[in-house]
Amino acid sequence: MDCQECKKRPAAVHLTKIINNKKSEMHLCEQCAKEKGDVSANFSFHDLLSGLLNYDNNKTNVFEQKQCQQCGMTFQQFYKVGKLGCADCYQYFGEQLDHILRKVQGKLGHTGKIPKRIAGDISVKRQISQLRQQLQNSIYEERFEEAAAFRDQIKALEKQLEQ
Amino acid sequence: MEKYIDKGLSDWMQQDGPESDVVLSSRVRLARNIKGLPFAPLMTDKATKQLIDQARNAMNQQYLQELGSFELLKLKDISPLDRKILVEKHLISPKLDSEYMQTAVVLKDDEAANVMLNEEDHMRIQCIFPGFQLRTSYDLANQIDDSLEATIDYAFDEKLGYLTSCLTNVGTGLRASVMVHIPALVITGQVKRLLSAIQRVGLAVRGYYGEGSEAVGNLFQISNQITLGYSEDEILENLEDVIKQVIEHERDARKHVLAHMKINIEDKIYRSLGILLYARAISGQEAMERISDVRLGIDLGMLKGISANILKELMVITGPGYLQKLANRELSSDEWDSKRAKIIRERLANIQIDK
Ligand SMILES: [Zn+2]
Ligand SMILES: [Zn+2]
Repeated sequence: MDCQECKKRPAAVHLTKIINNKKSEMHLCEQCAKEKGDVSANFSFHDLLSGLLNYDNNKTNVFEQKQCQQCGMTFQQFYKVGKLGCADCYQYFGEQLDHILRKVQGKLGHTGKIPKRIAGDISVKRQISQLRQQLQNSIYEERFEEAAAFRDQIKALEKQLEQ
Repeated sequence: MEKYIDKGLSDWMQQDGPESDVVLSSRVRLARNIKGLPFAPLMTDKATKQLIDQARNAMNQQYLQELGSFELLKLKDISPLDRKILVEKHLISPKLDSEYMQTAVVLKDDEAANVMLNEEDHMRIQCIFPGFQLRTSYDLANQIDDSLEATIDYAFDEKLGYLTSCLTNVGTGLRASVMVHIPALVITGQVKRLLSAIQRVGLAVRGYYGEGSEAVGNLFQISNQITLGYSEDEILENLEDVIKQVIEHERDARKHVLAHMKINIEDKIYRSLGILLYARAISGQEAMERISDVRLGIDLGMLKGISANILKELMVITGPGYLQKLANRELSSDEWDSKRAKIIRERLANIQIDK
């Protein structure tokens, strides 16, 4: 099969995009794919993004003004490239990203591996939030002795975090 | 470098693994980024140097050396043809090659693992094993991850997990994929239904692409799509459960084909074998299709005297880069086709037909 762009070289890059359940395919040689640059390489995710945001013009302006204070990437740039500029972008675009992440990933909240050197603190925090949940349940069910025990455990863990 | 090129076949192509009548290989990838360095779209020369320095430092630590022998290669020091072969061998991605001025790869000498540096993420740890061995593959990737992490601070967030340049990888950064050969499901027309069911449970299916656009050689790559909100274990388990079903369905379909369509299937297999044994020129795509038929013939016991791994092997050694390396010069596309036909004829020379 020949490249759709130049119709000379054999197609080596095959892209599939699905918009509104309609599937279309693109077949490009390596050179043409390269020339199309980031846009073609990312275009399926990019299209997905635009579908997911699906906002009106007013909202666009609000989003576009957001900028990562660490790397300087704007939301508009992110939207164009489909990729974030640095780890801090996750904070600066937090609200919008949560919205997209929920759709891309289904649910939020990492429950997997934690780097060993920082695992201690995080697992304590995970424990605290579990205990808080249990504390609320026991108050709700009027089991106050149990609630007091949970409260003490939380306090102890919080102290441990402060050290 | 030369050893990776000269050794045409990685272990995953030469060896059988569990359930290898259906599952050709199991691959796991972990996407990781270094804290404080910009992500791919904003990567600078200075940050690239820091990335490679940190990776080199991590490689010199005992933790990693205990896992095997690793070598760091900058892509710009590798010839274009050799890079192409590394792509055909799945040791680097086409993207890593296309940005070769700024990228590097850490290769494990048995080729079961590699770490791509400065791809879409700073580090992509990849492991590949023959047959259905997702856990083995993940365990090695996980150990390499642990060793790197001993000296490298990863970009990590409590709520979002490992932070990646693209939102589709955030969380575990884990992409697990299994390559399956399912000719009987294709022949019996069940493949579409099965694949759409797989997609509905949140997995992605891709065909193995030859020169054309269609999935060739009845090969499909099935992988997890979601990386956040589930643990590594849950992700692997979900994929494993689905693959187990695919294996069962394919085996049932093969039995069905033998019982009810024997003449059709024999005809198909022997015709393909005939073409491969006598053709003087063959395109990459046709070669893949015919070899898939021959592989089915081997699996069904009709063809003997040759390893079932012929399919995995020929996927690599009939690639343009490898063929060119064998010829030791630039080849035109006609020459590729005749060279390819010749290699296949030689490779199939010992085949025995069950009459
Ligand atoms: Zn082209
Ligand atoms: Zn940023």
